[in-house]
Amino acid sequence: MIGAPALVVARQVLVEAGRRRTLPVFVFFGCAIILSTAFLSFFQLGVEIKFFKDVAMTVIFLFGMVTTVVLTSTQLSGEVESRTIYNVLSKPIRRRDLVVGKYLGSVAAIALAVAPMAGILVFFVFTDRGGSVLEVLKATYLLWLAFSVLAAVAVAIASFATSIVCAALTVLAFVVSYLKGAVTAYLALTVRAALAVYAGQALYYLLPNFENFNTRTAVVHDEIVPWAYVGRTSLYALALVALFLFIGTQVFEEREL
Amino acid sequence: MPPVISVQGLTKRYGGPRSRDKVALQDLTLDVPAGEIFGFLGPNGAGKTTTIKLLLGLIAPTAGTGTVLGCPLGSVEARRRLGFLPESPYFYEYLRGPELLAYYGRLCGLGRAESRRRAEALLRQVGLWESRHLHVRKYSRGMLQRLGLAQALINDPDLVILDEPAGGLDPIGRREMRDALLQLRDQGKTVFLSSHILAEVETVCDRVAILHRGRLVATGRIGELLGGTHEMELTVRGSDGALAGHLGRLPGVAIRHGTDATVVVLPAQHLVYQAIDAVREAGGEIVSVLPKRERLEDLFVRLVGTPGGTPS
Repeated sequence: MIGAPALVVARQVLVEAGRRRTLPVFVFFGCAIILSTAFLSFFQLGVEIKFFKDVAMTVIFLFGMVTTVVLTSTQLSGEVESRTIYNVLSKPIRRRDLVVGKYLGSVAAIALAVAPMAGILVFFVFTDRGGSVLEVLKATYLLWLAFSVLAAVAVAIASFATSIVCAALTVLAFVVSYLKGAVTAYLALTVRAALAVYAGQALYYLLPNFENFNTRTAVVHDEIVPWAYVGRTSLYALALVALFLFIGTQVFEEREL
Repeated sequence: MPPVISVQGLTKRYGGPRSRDKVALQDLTLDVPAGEIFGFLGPNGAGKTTTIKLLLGLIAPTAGTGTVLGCPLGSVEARRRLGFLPESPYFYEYLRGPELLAYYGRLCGLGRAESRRRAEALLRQVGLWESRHLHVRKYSRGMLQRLGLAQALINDPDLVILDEPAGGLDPIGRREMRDALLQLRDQGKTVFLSSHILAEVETVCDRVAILHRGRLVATGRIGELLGGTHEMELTVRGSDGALAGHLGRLPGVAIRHGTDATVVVLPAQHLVYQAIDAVREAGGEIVSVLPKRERLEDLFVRLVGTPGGTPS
């Protein structure tokens, strides 16, 4: 069970995210790029709305991912490195509450960072009658789920690593997750050792499949993403988040500080 | 009354089973009685901070057991009733003092209103209320130390563990810290004070424990540890040459000439009268006659030794 201190920690993460300059700067630049694309595509009749939706979704994806890595990697590890953890853990809070609180605060901050960019996208889709607003909302929700999974991966890594190592490993995990199909196929074709093939398969199933959360193409081409798919993907994300948070809390419980 | 802190055979080694272990703490057995100020002393690397980390559950012991406030080491129940000021405390720089204390209060399970009320009271108590609008990053070293004391007291703890609380404080700040410690004892709280400032420890502590290279080398009431020596100390004024001539005849006497006075250390009390006669004969003036008392610093140096670590 997660206790009330986790929510206190989560709120503090939100306050921190709002007061540090990094997050507002990311949001500002993301919104600026989406807005400038909107105004530029306004003069390019014909393909403008598809182009705009494509660029906007890509910007949300990229800025969301960078925000997730930067924000989440510096939470738990930063607390250890700056030695503020001694004040926190001398209070009656369980370590797992701290880990989960950091995670919850991070995903809430990521949602607040993505919201203005998604809002601009929805506004132009609505006013230009460029497709279904609901589909845009579904797509941004799925992207946020991807960020939530990535944040859980980062928290699991931060439970034993420094901020910089955590950020590097999180990015690496993200890239390998995208390439895992190719890596597994390559191993199966070229490596004869059964252990390496099994290791590749284990990696395939353990690492999240971030492509499941990407419905950009559907949004751009006005295709409908079924609710059943959204539901299944939500459950998939929930399972991954639970798995990585479990790993993170277990490792952090044993960590010597 | 049961001890507030009780540890038996507490040991902490760093390093893997195959590597050469570094023993940070070896077989520490210690009881800290309730309602006292307990000084925890030792040179750098003696194992003081390791002990505190073990008490708080920040690290796990290699061997040994213990309780804090009757609860297992590092348990949430123990931490609910204790406060901790780390050495050189660090805080979230983007928060203001009241926000920071309210956050720690919430972590201690206080309600929102209660946390704010306690935060204000403590900031006034440590003299930081006027700086309440400043972000913590603008605080001076001394202000951070006082804020650290305030956060340690946010839950009105029964036990306060302080790691070098006077670090970074000016003389007035040190005096205020000392008064605060005595006030905590008057309120019935137990203070576990790790400090390098031996004069301060001697002034405020009821008991001390001295660690050296991870081992406990002495513990007890300060009066008992320092004990009385048989030596007497006379402070006299007069002609140095004449005084030295007359006093030098006494067995085992040590004479130290200062700018204003001469200090004469006698090895036994019965020599006092002979020394007084000698001073009179030399035409000198007696300023004071006192039993020579060992100071905590003398005991510390005797047990722990030179900076190299060799006991004298």
